[in-house]
Amino acid sequence: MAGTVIPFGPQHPVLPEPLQLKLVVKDEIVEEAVPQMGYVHRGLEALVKVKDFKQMTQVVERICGICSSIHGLTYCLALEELMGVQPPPRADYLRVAWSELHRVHSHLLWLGLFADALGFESLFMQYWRIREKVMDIMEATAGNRVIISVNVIGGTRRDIDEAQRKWVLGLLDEMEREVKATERALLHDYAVKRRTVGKGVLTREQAYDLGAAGPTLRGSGVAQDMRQLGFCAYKEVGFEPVVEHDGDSWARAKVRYRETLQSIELVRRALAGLPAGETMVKAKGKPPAGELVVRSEQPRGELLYYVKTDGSKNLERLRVRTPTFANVPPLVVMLPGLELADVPVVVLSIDPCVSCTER
Amino acid sequence: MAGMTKIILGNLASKPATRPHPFEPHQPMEGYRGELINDPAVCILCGMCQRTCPSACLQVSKAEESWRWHPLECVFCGNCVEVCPVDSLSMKRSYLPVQRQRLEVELHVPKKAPKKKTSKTAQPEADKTEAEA
Repeated sequence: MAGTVIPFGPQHPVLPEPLQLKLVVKDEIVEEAVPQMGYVHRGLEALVKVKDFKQMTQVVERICGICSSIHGLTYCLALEELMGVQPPPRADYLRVAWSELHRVHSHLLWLGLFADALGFESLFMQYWRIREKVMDIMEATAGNRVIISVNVIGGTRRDIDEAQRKWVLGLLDEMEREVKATERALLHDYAVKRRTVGKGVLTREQAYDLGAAGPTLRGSGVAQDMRQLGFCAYKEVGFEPVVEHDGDSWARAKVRYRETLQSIELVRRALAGLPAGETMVKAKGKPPAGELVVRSEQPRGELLYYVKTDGSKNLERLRVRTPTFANVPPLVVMLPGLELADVPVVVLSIDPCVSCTER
Repeated sequence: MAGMTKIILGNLASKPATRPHPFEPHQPMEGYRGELINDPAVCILCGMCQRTCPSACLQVSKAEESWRWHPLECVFCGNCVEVCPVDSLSMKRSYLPVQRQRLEVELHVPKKAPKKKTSKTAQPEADKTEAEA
């Protein structure tokens, strides 16, 4: 196709992750976008041959820094089902609490980056300031700020005692107040709306047919969220997906904003209903031969793990299908017709996590 | 910009969120997984930590009576602390500062006489050590 080819990425000041898009541009209007992935491919799935199934928990957590706890959780859920281990109920509630805290931190990070991509740096700093409270909660309850490593096969390694629980609930109240105070600056600002409403539209049929996941799907009107499957304690805690119907970047930002507030509420419910008991069951022996698919919900969408075991201490195959991999085809469909200056914000609105995609 | 002005005025009136590092070094919270510490008086050189480590940063040698830890390869996951049968490993509440050279921690761990029946976990390992030695 005739036109100028402008490479966007993999290294670009506005991109948070190294995704390469070759934009075919004619007179400032994008005609086609050709994605190329593989810049950060590290071959983590091949490590199953070298590391045993218990050590793989640590490897899997490091596929992505932002959604690391949920990678570990899904892996542990898969192996627990293969080995026939049932974690105690307290572990289920704690896992919900930590996963939702991870979702809060990821969405706050994204809201900050979204503001930064628009040039709104003060709001970016404000969101990351709120996010520091979540990081403090992780450090105090789980031992580290980013890669918290609390999920093991059989339950969780750490517990939240009564004093910590009260402290966490106090911090959550502060965070909710501060996040709500930013609504007007983020969602109802004239300049932000001019740059995001009507840009990067993904219709409901397109989103469903192309296999979009997460807020990209829910921003176009499809009410699908893997937490509806009810793994861990999501059924007991009660959960409804957050849906918007416009399908543009503004709708996706609104979905993530509302999900942040919803996740804070879910953490409150999980911590309020913590049953007493142990947090971990010892998982003995090796996993029996078999194969299994487990799905869960990352901040960016549906995460799928395929695990194949052959009875030894090394897994035979581990395949991870991350949500950004499913969101790149919708992105390629969203971009034609946009002006070149609108491209960074639309690319950011699908929340690309390329270290997950390319493992 | 009315929404943002209110936030900015509020931030100007409150204290800064930035920590004054390095003038006031930050003390991590209780339970932080920091530097790994091994007690040579307690360690029995069983090698469980080496087997569990996901990043292969520990080398235990009974013949040379040494325990080696490579802090720059360690991912500070805490698995070794959990599997240690005699609880000689622990994690300090501090993070590793910037290093200018490749760091390696080597400890000389003297061989120990087998313990009498004091604790359930130490006893089988001590017997195995004595049987192999």
